[in-house]
Amino acid sequence: MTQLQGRTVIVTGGSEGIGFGIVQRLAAAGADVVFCSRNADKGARAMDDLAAAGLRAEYVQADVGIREQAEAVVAEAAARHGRVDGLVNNAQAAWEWLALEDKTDAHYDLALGSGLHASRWLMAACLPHFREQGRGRIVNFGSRRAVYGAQASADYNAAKEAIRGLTLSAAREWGQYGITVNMICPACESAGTKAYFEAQPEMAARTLGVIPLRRLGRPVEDLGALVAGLLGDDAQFITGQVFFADGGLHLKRPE
Amino acid sequence: MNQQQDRVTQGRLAGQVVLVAGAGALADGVAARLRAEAAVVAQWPLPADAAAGRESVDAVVKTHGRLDALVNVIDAQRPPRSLDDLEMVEAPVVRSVLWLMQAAHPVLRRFGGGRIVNLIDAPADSLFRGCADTELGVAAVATLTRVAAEEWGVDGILVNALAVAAQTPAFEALRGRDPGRVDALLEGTPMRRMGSLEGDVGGAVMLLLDESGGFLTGHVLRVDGGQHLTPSPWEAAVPAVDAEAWRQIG
Repeated sequence: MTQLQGRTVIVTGGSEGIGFGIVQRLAAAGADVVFCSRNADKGARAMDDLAAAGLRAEYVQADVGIREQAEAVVAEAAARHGRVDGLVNNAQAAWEWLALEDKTDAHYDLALGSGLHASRWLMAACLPHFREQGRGRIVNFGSRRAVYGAQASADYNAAKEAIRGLTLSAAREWGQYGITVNMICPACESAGTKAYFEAQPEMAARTLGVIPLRRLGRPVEDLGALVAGLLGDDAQFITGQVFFADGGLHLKRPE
Repeated sequence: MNQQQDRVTQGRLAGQVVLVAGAGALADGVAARLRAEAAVVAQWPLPADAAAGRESVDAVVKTHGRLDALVNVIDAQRPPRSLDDLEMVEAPVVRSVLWLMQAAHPVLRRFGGGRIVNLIDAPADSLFRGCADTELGVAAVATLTRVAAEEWGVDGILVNALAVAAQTPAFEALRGRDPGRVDALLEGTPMRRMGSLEGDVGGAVMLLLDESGGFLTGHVLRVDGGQHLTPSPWEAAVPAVDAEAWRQIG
């Protein structure tokens, strides 16, 4: 698989979950992947897993919710490979299940810093490289929860919808440079969903039953493959779009 | 700037059989792209009745032994017609798409799933005057796409629509009448061009037919270089630099 040979791609929040699935799939497609996360131990574990799978990628420890560190990731990728072709803004801090009125400034600062600000800092840092190359790909991550205003995650919802606004604006303003900007809203399995579904088989059947494809997404084969497609030439005329990579769950409202 | 790339294809659809329904440059372009990706492509016109729909699907399976995907290309130019002259039983294109989807459903289910892609004009959130049956047809195909995605997901069938802004002969004819104005409008769109038939539209179809599209269903995706984000009438009337005027208008 050499679909992305010669292309340098940055993936934030890449050492676990969906982000790590994307890293694996892009590396398998031949891309030069530079991924980052806050936790260097998790990063080291991800590097071990990649090596065991015969895949190559590079890890940079960074908290992209801090501007200098976000910018340093792009600088590092450019220094190592001489170019930057794609950016996958996957990082987003976990949120607490709390009523809107109980969310504090600290909750919002974390949600907006790790999501909105990180995304825009990385996008801005990539722009000069994309402009120079006359081509660039940005994939941001949103949420079906946020689109539909699901309960108890107001801080997260606000950050994700802010990223959607950023996505549309960047698509509008940067299309002239051959840059596409799209968003993915995933419904994906994780260690958490697997454990929950095993413990609650009835709930699992009911949950999966409302999804048209009757399953959750897989980090590598579904989310990773979609990101690879959006980074490649197939999607060169698609911009400002929201992809619900959720087996059709977006056709229903949540809860 | 704004490079348009038609990367050498890699035979990604080798072994797959695709029925492309529709005549015209857009259908031809998509069919050519899929053939270049090593798919076996059978091209049929949009059917005039349910029996013709079944006939085309049956013929493909009989000749090639299987069916992996159905791509309906709605590229018909219809004369402008006002709402006053419209009968709701029209929008014939919707019936053609429905008949083909109905014919393909049991076949795709039998082969363990498959993909359906409906190519339509840009959806009706930016309306053209005097095109009532076109707008209704587009909206109906979009809804049909979502409904089929919901109902047939259980059979492993993924159904999506692509709303395209392509450089078709119809667009070229339009441009020929007033090149200055059309080019000025295009300059106001994010990617500054219309989509190429094989590279841009064919590429988007590939995105939905190969692994990238394996968990996408029920979408109406725009393949328009961001044209859906282009200036509103307000925006055309007020210079973008006049921030104060923009704040007043909202």
